[in-house]
Amino acid sequence: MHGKAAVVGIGESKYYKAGASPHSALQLASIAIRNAIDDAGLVPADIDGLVTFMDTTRQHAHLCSWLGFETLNFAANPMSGGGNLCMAAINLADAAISAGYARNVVVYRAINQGREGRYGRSRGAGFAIGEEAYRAPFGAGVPAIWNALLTKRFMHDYGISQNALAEIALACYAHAQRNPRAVMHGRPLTREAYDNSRWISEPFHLFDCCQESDGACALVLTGAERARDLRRRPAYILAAASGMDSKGALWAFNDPDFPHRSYRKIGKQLWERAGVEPSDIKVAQFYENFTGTTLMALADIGFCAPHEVEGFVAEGALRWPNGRLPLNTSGGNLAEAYIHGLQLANEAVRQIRGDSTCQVDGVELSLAVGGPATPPGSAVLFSRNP
Amino acid sequence: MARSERYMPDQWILPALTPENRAFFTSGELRLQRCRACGAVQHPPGELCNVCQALEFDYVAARPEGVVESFTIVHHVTNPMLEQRVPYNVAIISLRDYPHVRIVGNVIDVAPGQMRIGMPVTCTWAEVRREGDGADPITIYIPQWKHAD
Repeated sequence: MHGKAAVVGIGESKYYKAGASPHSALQLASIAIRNAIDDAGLVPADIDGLVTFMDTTRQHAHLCSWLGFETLNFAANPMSGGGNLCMAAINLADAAISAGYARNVVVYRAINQGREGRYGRSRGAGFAIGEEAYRAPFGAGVPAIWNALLTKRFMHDYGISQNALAEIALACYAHAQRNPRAVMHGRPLTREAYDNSRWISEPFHLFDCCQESDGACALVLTGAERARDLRRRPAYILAAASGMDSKGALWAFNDPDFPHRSYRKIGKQLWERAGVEPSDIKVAQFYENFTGTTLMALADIGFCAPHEVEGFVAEGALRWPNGRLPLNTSGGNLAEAYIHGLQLANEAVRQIRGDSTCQVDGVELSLAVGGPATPPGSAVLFSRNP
Repeated sequence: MARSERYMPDQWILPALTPENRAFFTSGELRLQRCRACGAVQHPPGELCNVCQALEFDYVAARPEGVVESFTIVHHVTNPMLEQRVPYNVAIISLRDYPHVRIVGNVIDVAPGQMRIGMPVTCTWAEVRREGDGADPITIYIPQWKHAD
């Protein structure tokens, strides 16, 4: 058991469809960070640590000066990938606080795909470098296609049907209907509409793919001792894990583990560190860039064997209030907003506080899992008690 | 070398050449990187051996035969250049000679509904003149796959 650091503040900007934000990513970041600091009952001068991920545009040094921090004692940006790192950013903040390098750390992600480029668009002409040289010339230039290739094989190997993918989309959209922050609030999804939606990259329909968004969210972490004196119920970090197996970075090209990804290792470490089992978890937030690879992560982290995953998610099992594991209770990447998955951590904290718009009763443990298809993966388990 | 018309549009993105990938993209063969120290064959070619970390390589030609390990049919137009190309397939293909090596490519003679995991395929090459990036013009050979009977 860990519980040395806790989330004491969460905040976000308004969430927008890509291109609809009147604000730049930096402006969105400032809004979300200020809201998180306010929520904690702190002031900017209290913050002395800053972590983001997959963002080299907005420098920590500038943010420290612009946002009114008094000093910066810890600044980090975990590397390798994108949304797979969202919970690794929290893991790093936890490590900094637990080791005493910083007192109050902000973790944030700001994204403005309208201005900075939509993730679903690929380059056309020109030359592809690095690993892209082996994918883009064949028309495989976007994550939907890479994830579709992994998912197709996963479904083939374990006899998984489209029904399992649809369950994730239906759960996210159902939850978003109760969440006024969600971009897809007021736009319910039926199974019929899912089936009739256009293909993006088989087996992914439109509704299997995350949104492209503009927005920002942030969390404030502090030590467990200080957390008790602040105004919000702390969400203690019981355990965090991030990492990968040796050859995971070799993707489908050369990865002996194809088509699985990093979450077997993440699960093993997370449950060991926390001293609990997947069966103890009553609510979870899982990064869904695409429904199929999220199914892989659900199985790999330990909720079921891969061939059992369709049964595990079937018949509304992921849907609040009656499902066995309400998933992405704010709507997730699919239906709330795609803030690169960090908004899932905000929702995991709400479940501990008891103020989610799809609140699960009696939450003691709240799980948040990062992106599945690119290693290293990451996950955080929050607890109501230190 | 069996030739084929390029499956993707004429002006579609090409690989930037590096010392490591030149053999794969300019030989018209499936030339794979092999470690001189331990003999491991790896793809994509890299700067060090992923098995023994040695730095010296030669390149070995695999037979142009493979198996479809996974595929997707792409319908979404991710770039305006692809408006006339969709729907198209992208496949992961393992090589008969080196089953642990999987490469990404297109199966150019199979309709979307006929694609299958486990389908045997043979390699052909599209010849593309590459110029305009400041380097000397050179011919790139793009591996493309056909269903093997």
